[in-house]
Amino acid sequence: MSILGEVVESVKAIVKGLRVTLSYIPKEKLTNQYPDEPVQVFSAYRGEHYLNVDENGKERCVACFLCSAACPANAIYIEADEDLRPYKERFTKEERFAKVYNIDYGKCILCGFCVEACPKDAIKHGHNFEMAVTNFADLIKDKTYLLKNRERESQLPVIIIDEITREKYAKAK
Amino acid sequence: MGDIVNLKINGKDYQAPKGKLLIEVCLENGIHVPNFCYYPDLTPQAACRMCLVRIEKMHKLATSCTVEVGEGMVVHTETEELLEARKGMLDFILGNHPLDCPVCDKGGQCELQDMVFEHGTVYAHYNVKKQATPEWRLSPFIAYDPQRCVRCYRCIRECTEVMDVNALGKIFRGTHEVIGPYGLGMDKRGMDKGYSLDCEQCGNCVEICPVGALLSVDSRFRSRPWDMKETVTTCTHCGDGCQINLGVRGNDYVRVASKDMKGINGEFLCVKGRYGCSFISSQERITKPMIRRGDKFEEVSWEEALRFTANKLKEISAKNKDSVAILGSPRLTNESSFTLRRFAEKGLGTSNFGQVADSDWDRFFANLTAPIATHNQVKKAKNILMIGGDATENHPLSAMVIRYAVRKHNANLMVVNSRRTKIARRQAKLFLHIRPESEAAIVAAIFESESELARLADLAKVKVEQLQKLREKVLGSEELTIVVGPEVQGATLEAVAQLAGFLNKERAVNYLPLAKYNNSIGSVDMGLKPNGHNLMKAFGSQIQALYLAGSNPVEQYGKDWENALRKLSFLAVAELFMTQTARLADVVFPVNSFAEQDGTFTNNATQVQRVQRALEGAGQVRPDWMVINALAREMRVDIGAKGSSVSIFRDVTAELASYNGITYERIKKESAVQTTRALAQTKDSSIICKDLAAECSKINTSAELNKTNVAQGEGLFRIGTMTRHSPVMQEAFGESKEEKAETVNA
Amino acid sequence: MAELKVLTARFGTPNSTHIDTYLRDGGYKALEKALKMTQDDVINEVKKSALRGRGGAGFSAGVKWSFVPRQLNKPKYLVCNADESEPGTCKDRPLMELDPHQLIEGMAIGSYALGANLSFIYIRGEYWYLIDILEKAIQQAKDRGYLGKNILGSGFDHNIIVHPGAGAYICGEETALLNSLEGKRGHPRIKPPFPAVVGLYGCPTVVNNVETLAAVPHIINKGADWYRELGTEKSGGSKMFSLSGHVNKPGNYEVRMGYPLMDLINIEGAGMRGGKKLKAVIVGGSSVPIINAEAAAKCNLDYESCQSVGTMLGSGGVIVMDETVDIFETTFNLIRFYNHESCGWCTPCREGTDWLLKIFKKIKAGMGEESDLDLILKLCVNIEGRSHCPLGEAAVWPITSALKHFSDDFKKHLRKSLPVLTMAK
Repeated sequence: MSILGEVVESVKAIVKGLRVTLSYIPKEKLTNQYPDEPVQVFSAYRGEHYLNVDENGKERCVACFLCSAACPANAIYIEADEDLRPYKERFTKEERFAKVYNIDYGKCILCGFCVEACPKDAIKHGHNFEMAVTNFADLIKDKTYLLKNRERESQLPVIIIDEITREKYAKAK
Repeated sequence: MGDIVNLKINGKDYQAPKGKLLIEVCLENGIHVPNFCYYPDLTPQAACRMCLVRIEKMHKLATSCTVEVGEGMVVHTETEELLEARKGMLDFILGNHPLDCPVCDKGGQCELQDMVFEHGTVYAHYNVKKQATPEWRLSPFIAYDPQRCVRCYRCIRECTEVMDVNALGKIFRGTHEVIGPYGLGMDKRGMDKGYSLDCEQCGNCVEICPVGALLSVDSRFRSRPWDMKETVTTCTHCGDGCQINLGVRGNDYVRVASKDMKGINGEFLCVKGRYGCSFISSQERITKPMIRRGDKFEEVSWEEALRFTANKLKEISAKNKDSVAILGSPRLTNESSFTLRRFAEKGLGTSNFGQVADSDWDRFFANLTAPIATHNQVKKAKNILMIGGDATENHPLSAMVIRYAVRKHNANLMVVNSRRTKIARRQAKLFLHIRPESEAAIVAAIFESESELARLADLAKVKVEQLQKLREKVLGSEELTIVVGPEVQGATLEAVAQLAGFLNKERAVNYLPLAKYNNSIGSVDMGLKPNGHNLMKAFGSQIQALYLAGSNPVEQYGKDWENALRKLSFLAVAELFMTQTARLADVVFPVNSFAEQDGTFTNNATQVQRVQRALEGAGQVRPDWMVINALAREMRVDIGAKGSSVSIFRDVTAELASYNGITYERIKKESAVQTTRALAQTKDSSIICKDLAAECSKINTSAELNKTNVAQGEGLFRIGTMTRHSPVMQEAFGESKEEKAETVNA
Repeated sequence: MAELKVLTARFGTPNSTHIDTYLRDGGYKALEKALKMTQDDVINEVKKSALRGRGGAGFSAGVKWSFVPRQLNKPKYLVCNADESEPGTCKDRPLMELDPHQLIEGMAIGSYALGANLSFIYIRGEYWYLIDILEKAIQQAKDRGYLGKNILGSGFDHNIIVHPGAGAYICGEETALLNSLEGKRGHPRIKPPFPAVVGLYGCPTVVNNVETLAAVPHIINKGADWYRELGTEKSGGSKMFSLSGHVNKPGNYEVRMGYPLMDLINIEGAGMRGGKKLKAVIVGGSSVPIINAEAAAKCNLDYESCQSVGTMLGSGGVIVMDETVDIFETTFNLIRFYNHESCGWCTPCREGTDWLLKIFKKIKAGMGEESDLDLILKLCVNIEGRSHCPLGEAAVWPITSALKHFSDDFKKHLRKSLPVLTMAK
């Protein structure tokens, strides 16, 4: 076998070996340069929860305990209370509300059962996944934090892929 | 039991006693018939129409809660037509129901939820606007949400028939019909005019409400049923010993409910049982041992407090063993009382021990000539003789069973009382309104010959004919239940205990003593004699040191005790709260409340019932027996201390014949186990007559009859050492209200 | 055909309420006669006359009386149900207003037959002006010895108490009436036990309509056979009908049982007003199914004939409706009445009438849909036969029959087409 033939064979082998790699070079990139770039997540992504409010900004939660009952990890702790002031004065939608609403993300497995159990649409999954903390106790998120989570949604380092972009994404793939 | 009839239900043959309701036959045989308004022992209503069944040869569907079974009846309960009818009926009931299960406290325990789950449809046909009726606070304890109400009228019937209070009624008509207080609220605006339910506040309407229409304000929004741990235990407020379910969430008291209708009390509880137990979670509980330093108490460790006490007791006891006294209380568990007595006998060797109480139940049991009736037996009584005692106010369960006997079996109730009690006014067939403290004369009238009647009637200031009638009824009745109240004492009480023997043993006679406190009888059984008042007279002279457990005599009996306690050179008190008595102490030990310890209580029917730990005590509290064990260890004396309530109770059963054979397992199985009492020899009636004559001579013949009626809640609504710390009781009946200023240890 | 005058015979007499005129016209003869008969004979006579309860259910009066256990050592009561509040019925009012002694005599005979020494007239609260007339008449009868102790030397004591109701339709139901009379809330009791065994204050009680009791003296006077032959085989005697609606001469008419309905409209009522066509008739007061003109032509005024055309004779309030009437409006009116009068005791009636009314309101507002008519029918099925007392059934019968015969009237109120929902882009 001549040297030329060897070169040709080697090039062939290299091309063959790199075929998959090379074929991806012209395609759209899937790797995210996180944290330099935002991450793409689906709209149904089950991130850190947020507590919902109604159109007037009143808390929707009525402390029915169904989320904590549904929770397989026993991560939700609630204490209920009542606020007998009229709707305009109080900060909750109904008289009964959650005085304490804690989710322990050390336990939470983000299964979404709580969201499904909620009869009042009060708890939702957000898209935040940056839940790492340096102190164990900080994993327990209280009501004020969870309520603010809703506003934080817009500032998250994520791009939420809705149905339309999802199609595009599928095509691009 | 009368005739037996044969009937066919769903193609199967059944037999049932004639006259029994069809629904009862169905439910007993495991055939499920849905119902709201049917409730055992209440009059049938046929209002909810859920229990419809098809009976052949009847042209319409019949309500099984009103039909009595008959011979040859052919019944269908599961046909297509009936399933449709049930669906339709649930559609109607849900029509104006707000479906606010998430905020409803009943959610999870609601009969309507279960019913819809089982029989209803998933679609809401009701496509028009629902009625909105505002929620209504009926009283400080009870809230009513008319929208959730299914109008089964259980509450009204419970109030009228079982409680005999008649506080609830129906207001308005048709869909606007609501449940509300009688006499008030005819005006719709009356609904928000504040509290308006004039009753005993027993909350039984809340207990039997199938939905969340009637709710306790006390436990409102505190927890969901599935979220709390319910512990079966015994109520600590009176001698009846109702079984309660103590609901605890985390380590917080939530609510009290009756024990799934399975205890001696069924669904029944009184205001104190249901709402007066929240003192256990009070912030004012003592949580650490304290030693007096000058005028102030200083929190110290258990070791220090125990060592201090042990040294003091040893020091005083070294000179004279009897100079140390031990006083228990009718509120302690049997285990604690037992340990207390052992400590006094074996540890200190003192003869001065007993309890602070003012009844002579030890003398009663020493002379007892007939068995004690359980509450269930009283329900079936035919003749009841009630001497003294205000059962409605102080023993609500006993009152309920007596009312039951009168209501269901038309029992012949004879009442002898110096006060116009409710039961005397409303249920009694014969009421002897006697002069205060002249019960001895009436009892003597039964023992003495007929010639003495006129003199005795004059002593008690009753008519001779009435006394004659009572005597005839008592002497002539085949069966008799004798209910004896706490004000009957001394020789009179002994005579009452001898009455059954006097009446001839052939007859079925039994007793129900109305002991005042949760463990009055148990503590006497454990050997703590009610001699506190006698010992008190020796304080400062023969007695120099006192260990006082669970009593607050300063508040209960006033200045005399305060002065006496001040004379002591050393006083140790084991208490829940910083009471007036505890303030005089040199050492205060924090102890567990009934909800925080295991043990047993013996109720006034001498039934032993369990007290179970429902929650952890706050701080460093310990059970009474544990404090005493530790004290004994500190004093280096051996009292045969046992390390758990089970083993102490085993010692109790080994030592006391009447407790023989009772174990915790057996109590768990049977809920309440009655002790077996050895019956005393019947004394000669001449001896009894002599004793009674001595008692009769003490009667103050110048005293006038007390003609005022006992007001509703007069005894029930009194605030005492423990109920004071229950927020809702305090709010409703607290001392701030002048008319209820009088306080007792209750 | 000439009007039959049995109950109404003395309506024209001047001063007819006075006992003197009543005695002049042969009054209290029947009582005298009855007091000489045995109690069983009186009951058998009434039984034989085929007198049926005029309150609506049409149960034989004599049979009802015979249910009373007379040997029972308890007081017995006779209660006259004068709580006439059926829409379209006003027959009892003239009977009490113009001839109170006829009723008193009937009650005295009835009480004698039952062994009752005290009887009650439970009168509708709105008839306050009749209370005066009745009480005056009772006083007069007492003065003459037809009431009170030892009536006519027979040793029979009898007294009558007039008790006004407080304006509840449901208190026309006999057990609700008894509750109301006892001073309790007026809702029906559970049957059995029937009032004939356990009635007022737990004692045997018979509740009869005014008209039933008013007919009793005539039966005793002229004999059961005479009375029976006035009517049909099963429904004896004559009956008052309150003719109202679109006829030329509305009013109370007494006709024999089995009289043709069309004759009542065309002869007594002098035909339809303005010569319009007959559309529908409610025969027995609002609580019975509505019939159309076709059925009305076949209908005779007796219990059996009415049943055969799918309605009931009820209390005899004949409401005639001509072609201009919208049956939807009629039923709407009726359901409003029943919803208001439902006592709230049992679920189907309380919630059902409320729900029905709400759907009717919705249809009235032009928001009704085809499915609402099905829902109405479904609700009616759920109420009928499942309620505690007949009020629930009475509320749905007019509706089901109206939907059956006159569904066009309902359909024209429905929403024409669904508005098309368009979403802004």
